[in-house]
Amino acid sequence: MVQGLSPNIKEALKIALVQGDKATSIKTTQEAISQGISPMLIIQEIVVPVLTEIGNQFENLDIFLPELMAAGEAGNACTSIVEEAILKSGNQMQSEGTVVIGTVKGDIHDIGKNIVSSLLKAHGYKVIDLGKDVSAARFIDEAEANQADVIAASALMSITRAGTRDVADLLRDRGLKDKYLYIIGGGSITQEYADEIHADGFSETGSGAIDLVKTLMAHKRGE
Amino acid sequence: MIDFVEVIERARTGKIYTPEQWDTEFIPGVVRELLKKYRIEKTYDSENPISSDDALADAFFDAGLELAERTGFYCETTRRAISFTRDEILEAMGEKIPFIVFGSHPDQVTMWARHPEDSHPPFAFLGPLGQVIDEEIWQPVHQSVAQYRVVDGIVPGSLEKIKGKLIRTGSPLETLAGHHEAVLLHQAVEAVGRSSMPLCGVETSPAEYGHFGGFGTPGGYTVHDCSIILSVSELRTTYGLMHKATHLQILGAPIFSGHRSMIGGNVGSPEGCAVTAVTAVLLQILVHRAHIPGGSTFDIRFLCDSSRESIWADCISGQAQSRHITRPLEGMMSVVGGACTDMLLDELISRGVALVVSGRSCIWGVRTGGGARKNRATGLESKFAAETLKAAAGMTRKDANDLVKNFIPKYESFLKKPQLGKPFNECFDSNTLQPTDEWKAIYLRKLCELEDAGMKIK
Repeated sequence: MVQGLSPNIKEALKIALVQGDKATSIKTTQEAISQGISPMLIIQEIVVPVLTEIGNQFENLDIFLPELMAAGEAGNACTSIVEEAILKSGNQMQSEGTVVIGTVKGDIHDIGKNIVSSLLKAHGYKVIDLGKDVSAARFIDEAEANQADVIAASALMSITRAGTRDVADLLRDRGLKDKYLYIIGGGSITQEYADEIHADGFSETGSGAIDLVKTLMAHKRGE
Repeated sequence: MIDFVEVIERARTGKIYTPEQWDTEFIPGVVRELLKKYRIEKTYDSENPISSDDALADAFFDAGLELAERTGFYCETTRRAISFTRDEILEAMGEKIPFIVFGSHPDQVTMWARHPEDSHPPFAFLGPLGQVIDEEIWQPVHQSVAQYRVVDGIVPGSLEKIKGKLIRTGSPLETLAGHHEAVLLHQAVEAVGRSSMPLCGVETSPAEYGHFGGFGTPGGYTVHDCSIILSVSELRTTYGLMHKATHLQILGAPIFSGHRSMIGGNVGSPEGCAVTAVTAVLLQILVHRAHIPGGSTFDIRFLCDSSRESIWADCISGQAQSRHITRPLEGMMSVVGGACTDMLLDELISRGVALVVSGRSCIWGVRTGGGARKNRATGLESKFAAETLKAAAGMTRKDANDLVKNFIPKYESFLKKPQLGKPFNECFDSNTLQPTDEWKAIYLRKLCELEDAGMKIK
């Protein structure tokens, strides 16, 4: 029988997520599922609202990148357990979507990418983070391997932003332009540049990137 | 100072960390501990961006020194920490460089090591830094900067293409581009009669390839010019950056090595960034053999360093650095307002004055519009920045604080949505190298505002 969320579980998981305590987040999620609590309830009533609040705190400089990343990782771990539980029950998890993200070839700056990656996780997306100095081919190969919805490429420097164009060009040349939503960002990127290379979207900020992905995904689904 | 070969060896043999451990656990953990130990947590003062508290500056220095001793610099290539003892760090710091002469006769300029409230003028290394400038307008843009003699040295923009082909990092085009940039910049300064003025490059290429193409090659940058090594945040280097340092030592060229601590990033608070910036300066003297080490901050919320938090952090950190280290210290101006806007000049006043009174020597910029939009830099903002920087020499920190408190509120609400301004060809005449009436009027109005605030521009 499916149970509602007890205040104890809710509080314990909330604290674990806020503290970025991955081990306790996993343990509490497993306990909750074993007690018959609906897996989706855990995501909808705890993980997403708590991590959204953490994202807001980051924007206000109340917390910093390490805390944001740790919370994102803990949230991701919870989501994986929930996903596993749903699959075991013979159902399919309605994921927000899968995003392959990285900093382009030649660019060794990854803070902006890390912020977007953590915020995406916090909003329930499955994120394949390729790190930095990522070739155009690898972005696409990983998107193919993970059945991604979105490819997100970051470039901080004006002299490395050509790497974002390379991803766009390779998507076109491999006939995959319409298969993936391609978004770009970073200090050297503007809306004009995104239009020039025919990217599907651009965001100046981390929170803006989440809104952008949501909007593009909704549009793709025909919502 | 410890031999450079030993530094390279330590990069190969030091303690192993994954990048994630270094970034999100080790460095933030030690920084948090030191902020507590030295009682400098929550010392950020939003009402007073320029601190005059020497004891506070010294506490930041002590914390930065201990951080340097406990963490070292991370080599991404080997995934190991390059560590130093306290004595090794103090020995390196103790090697004084009171001045460096850049350029050659008759355009030589001396860069002095400075201290807080120092009356020596800072060195204005300015230009369209970080911004793509198309080759078609490369000459007038750079001539527009070089024509103003108040600008001591010129930092070029970046080339995006060479012979119409996009430059990609790691490709042989990058090596060519490094050389091409230097050749074009030499042509630009020669055209305005300053052929031997100090130059700073290679800007087009972040990797060692462009540097090797452009520095020390025939027609390239020379030992009279300034090189660029930009460390990776936080406290990280690569073999590529160390290749540049090695090459510059062979040439006998002055080495500038800069580092930005990210407000909101892994060391988080303005206080954490200020400590880390001190550490970066100390360790770049050892790891990159920097004659001009730089430790500044950058606010990742706005992609600039003109926020109130960033200015405060760079002031206290700059004072901590310059009260203890006798070398020219670098400070950057990376602003987000575009050319032909009040916002740009307000940011330059606030940021520039703060850097100068805190003891920075080599002021590096102007990253007009955050460098994001191409062809949007002009010579006028470099002229204005240089004039303001020089007028700030000798000011007291208290007077400077009073001044910037008037100017920061003029732009800070626009940092998220900055005034973009105009591209070069809409606010500057390529033939006469003069600003349009509109841009000139903004400049003159801002000079009047500075005079009203008690600052005399020569």
